[in-house]
Amino acid sequence: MHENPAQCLEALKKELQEQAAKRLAIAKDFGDYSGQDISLFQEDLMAVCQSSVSEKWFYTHLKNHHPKLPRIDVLQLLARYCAYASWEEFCQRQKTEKVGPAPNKAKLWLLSLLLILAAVLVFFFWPHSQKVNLRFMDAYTQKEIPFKDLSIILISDDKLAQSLQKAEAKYEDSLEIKGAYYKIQKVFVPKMDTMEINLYPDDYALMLNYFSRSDVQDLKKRQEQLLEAIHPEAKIFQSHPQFQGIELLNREEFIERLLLPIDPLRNLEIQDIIYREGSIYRLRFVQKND
Amino acid sequence: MKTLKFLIGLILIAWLPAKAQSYERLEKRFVKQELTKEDSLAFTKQGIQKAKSLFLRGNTLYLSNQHKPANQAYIQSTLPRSFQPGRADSLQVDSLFALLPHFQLAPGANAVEFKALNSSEFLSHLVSANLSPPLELDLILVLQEKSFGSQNEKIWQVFLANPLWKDFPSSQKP
Repeated sequence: MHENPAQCLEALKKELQEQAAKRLAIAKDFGDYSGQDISLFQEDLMAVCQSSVSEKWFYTHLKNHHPKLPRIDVLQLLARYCAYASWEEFCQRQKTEKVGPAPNKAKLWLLSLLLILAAVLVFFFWPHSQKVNLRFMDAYTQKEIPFKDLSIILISDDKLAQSLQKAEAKYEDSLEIKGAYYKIQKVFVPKMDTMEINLYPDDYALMLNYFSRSDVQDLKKRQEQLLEAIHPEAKIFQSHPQFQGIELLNREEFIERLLLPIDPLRNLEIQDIIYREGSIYRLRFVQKND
Repeated sequence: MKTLKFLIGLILIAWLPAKAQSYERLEKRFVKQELTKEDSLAFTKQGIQKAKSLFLRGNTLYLSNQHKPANQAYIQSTLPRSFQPGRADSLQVDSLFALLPHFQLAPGANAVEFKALNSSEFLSHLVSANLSPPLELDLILVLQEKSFGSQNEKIWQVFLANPLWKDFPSSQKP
């Protein structure tokens, strides 16, 4: 690890800026990024790493200097965007580059070969016992879902299904996550310290429950919760396998769709979400079986 | 097996971004000036979904909440947004809302189906395939402002219009 994580972070920010400039053709310092530039960066980060940072986070850590080191999972995300396997690998590289004497081309080749060989050996012979912490987030509200509210099954070929007793898994585990009002999700655990998993609310089950109790107050509460979770300027696209986009909805229209327990809601599948300031800014969904 | 799973995971990570459609590309259809035949087909698809949803709300869901007037009131409040306000067909539309619970699906049918027919005046003309009495609707496509928070944007929108139905059979008389 780098002697000073803060120095390592500065180096990562520099490389991140170069990577963003290369990918998005934005030749600016992060400090000069416009709202549109930030939005493009968030989208690209999501496309490359299947996760992104909020606009607030960008302002706090990239546009301005923040004394605290960001969370480890965000550091992992940014390192992966720069094509490193992890934050640790990035810092290790920094250290190697700083400490080592200027190698000639042949030495660099040899070093690369050794590194690849070491990586292959580590991959096959490293005891697969490292733990990955799991965090479960509501995909709409981006609020953490308590572990006790979920049931997580370890999918295994050779053993009976096992339930996880704490929010912790091993690399390469396959998990099935269930919650009373969340859609079942299967995930593969990659090599990282903390894995953040977005769970999509099962709106149909939720509405069926509200309607069966005729609880208009609960319905209103859900409506308010969704208004808070979805950005006022959100654009929601209904995609179609044959025609791509077939409808463009605003926040209010989409919420109305989420509040009626009819078949189109049962068959609604969220394909992608982009967040801005912690709320849903762009969302793409498809109506299955149509 | 674990290595295979890991490799599949890696392939998926590399493949998914390439598959991801850009939102800008999706939005183009709704703001372009000249529409292609494929755009019209896409909007017709949306219109058919609107017609099906109207029936599901105004008939199936409304009837399944027969003893819950608060639910029924909420369901009915969602119906008008499928139609463009201020059109000459408003009286006919109001009658349709009142009569929707009395339409019946053909025996054995699970869900309402609509056929889209060509129309010289509208985007399309829809005819129900399995309702008694049959229900007909026009689809209109208009470039109209929609608000996205503080922003207003002119986008193509599909509405139902000109509902038409024959007399109800005596056994279904409202």
